[in-house]
Amino acid sequence: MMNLVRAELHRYRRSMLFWGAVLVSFFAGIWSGHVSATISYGGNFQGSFEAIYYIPLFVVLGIFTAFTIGREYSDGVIRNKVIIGNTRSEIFLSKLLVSFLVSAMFTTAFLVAYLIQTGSVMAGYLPFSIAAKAILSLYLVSGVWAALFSTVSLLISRQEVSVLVNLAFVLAVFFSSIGIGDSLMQPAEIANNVTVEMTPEEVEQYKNGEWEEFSSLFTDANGVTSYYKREQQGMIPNPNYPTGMVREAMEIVESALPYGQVLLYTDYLTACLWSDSPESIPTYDVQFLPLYALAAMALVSCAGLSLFRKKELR
Amino acid sequence: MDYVLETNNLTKTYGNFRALQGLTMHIPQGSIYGFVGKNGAGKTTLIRLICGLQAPTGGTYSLYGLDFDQKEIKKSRRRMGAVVETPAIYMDMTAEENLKQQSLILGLPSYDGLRDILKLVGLENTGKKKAKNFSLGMRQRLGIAIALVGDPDFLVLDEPINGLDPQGIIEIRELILKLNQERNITVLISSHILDELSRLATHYGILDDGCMVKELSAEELEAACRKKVHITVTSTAPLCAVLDEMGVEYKVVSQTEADIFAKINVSQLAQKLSSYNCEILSMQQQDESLEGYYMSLVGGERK
Repeated sequence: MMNLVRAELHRYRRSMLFWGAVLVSFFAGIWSGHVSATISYGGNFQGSFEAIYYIPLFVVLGIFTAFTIGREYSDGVIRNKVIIGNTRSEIFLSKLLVSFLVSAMFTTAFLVAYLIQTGSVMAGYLPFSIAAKAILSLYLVSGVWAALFSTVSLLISRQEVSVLVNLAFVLAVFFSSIGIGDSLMQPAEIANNVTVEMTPEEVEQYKNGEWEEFSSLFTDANGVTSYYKREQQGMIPNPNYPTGMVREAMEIVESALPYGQVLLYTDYLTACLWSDSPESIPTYDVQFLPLYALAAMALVSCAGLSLFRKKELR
Repeated sequence: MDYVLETNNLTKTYGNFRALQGLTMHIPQGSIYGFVGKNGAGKTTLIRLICGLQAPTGGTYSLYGLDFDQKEIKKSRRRMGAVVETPAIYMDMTAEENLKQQSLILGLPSYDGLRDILKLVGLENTGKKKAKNFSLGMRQRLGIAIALVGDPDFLVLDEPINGLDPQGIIEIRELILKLNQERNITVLISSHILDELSRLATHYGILDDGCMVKELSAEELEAACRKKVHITVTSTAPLCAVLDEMGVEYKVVSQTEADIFAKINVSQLAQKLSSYNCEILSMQQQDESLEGYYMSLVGGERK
């Protein structure tokens, strides 16, 4: 198996596609870092580590993996590896290992550019330990993507189809993670707003144009107009707030999804950035995220391996 | 006799379609085995199975005595090189880079011998030209060169002359003969171009509709394809007497038919037979080539 890995890495040394992808990752880091470091809210600079800025890195990885493995299928090279005695497992695992290494290189290129852009502006506000964990998490998340992309590309012989499937996965996981994240961030209780009739004094204010809050009027058949306002009467449970086992399941899925992890860390880092002091930094439960990433990698890899072993090659 | 490859009742089905049906064949060591069949007969399917690209639905095969489902088959596969359908080459690499890549995949300790392989296949002067700019003949030769990197003693070539010009066909033919005669490499070559195979093969396997119709050596084929006159008479007893008198080689096929393997004077024969009250009912000259023999086999009963 290591022969296969060595041969592939040797090939990448002179591959324009590989070095082009490294360069694109670097420029993606420059763009993402620039946006992160210059974003303003309400006219005041605040900076943000929004998860969307990491998409270009994963898109580059997905397209590169699909292209290189797809080309090996069209050139017949994967077939050749089987003919000379390599088992399907050896071929799959060697591809996986190379994908992990490639994803680490693309992530490094991205991060170097990103940190150059953001470090000088935002580093002072971030605790080093949290930033270090976030960087490690990004490498692990890239590894999960690498496992998924190489599995898809090895199971789908056609290059164009595997590119589309990889991109679809990036978008699907991105939007799913956003949706799950939004659901989990819903407040447990919401204001109980009811519509009540205004008092005479309030009606007077409305007629004088001094009423600035929500209002509505109703004129009945007899021409009598009634004036209403919206009033908060305590708090009620939020119907969109997931609870119990559903909430636990959503939290696990969010932690396991590669984009979910990115979301968690980017929210965490942004919260640190916007906090007035170290003591006011909110707590995010991220200690098990590396385990989730490793579990996701293992799950995808095992599923891919068992399917690839049965794949008939033409 | 030692066999490099033996298959026993090999079957392969794709859904409801049976590509191979109980195929049994034997490839002797040191031979050039010509695998003959029309398009869709199952040649490439068999090659995919023996190369490990697909698993058989039924039956077995063995390479160098090792069954396909044994773990040790890996060692047998290392002794094999193959070009299946299209050559497996990296299009964005030069010829030498392709061979180096294959060398790395095989885990060979050095690049020694690669230049010799390029010289053997006639690609030593391609320099920095990338494989995507090669002609079809050059790509075929590069595919064979890649298959030779591991110093195999069994080479599988799936329709290697398809799409080649006459010059390319000659070059591939000479290369195969050289590999077999100088390096004692056993070659399995599949083709539907019979004339070309007849210039190369020492053994033949004739395939039709996924079944092996006949296996025979080149000598047996030559014997079967001799020029002859097929004669039908009222009785072969007087015919034999006349032919013996004329000193002509013949073979009795049935009580009324015989094959005569010589040029005969028809008038003389008829005159002599009439003295025995033997009538000639029909005479046909048969000038059978491999093509004719093949057509007679696949159009007739299976053996």
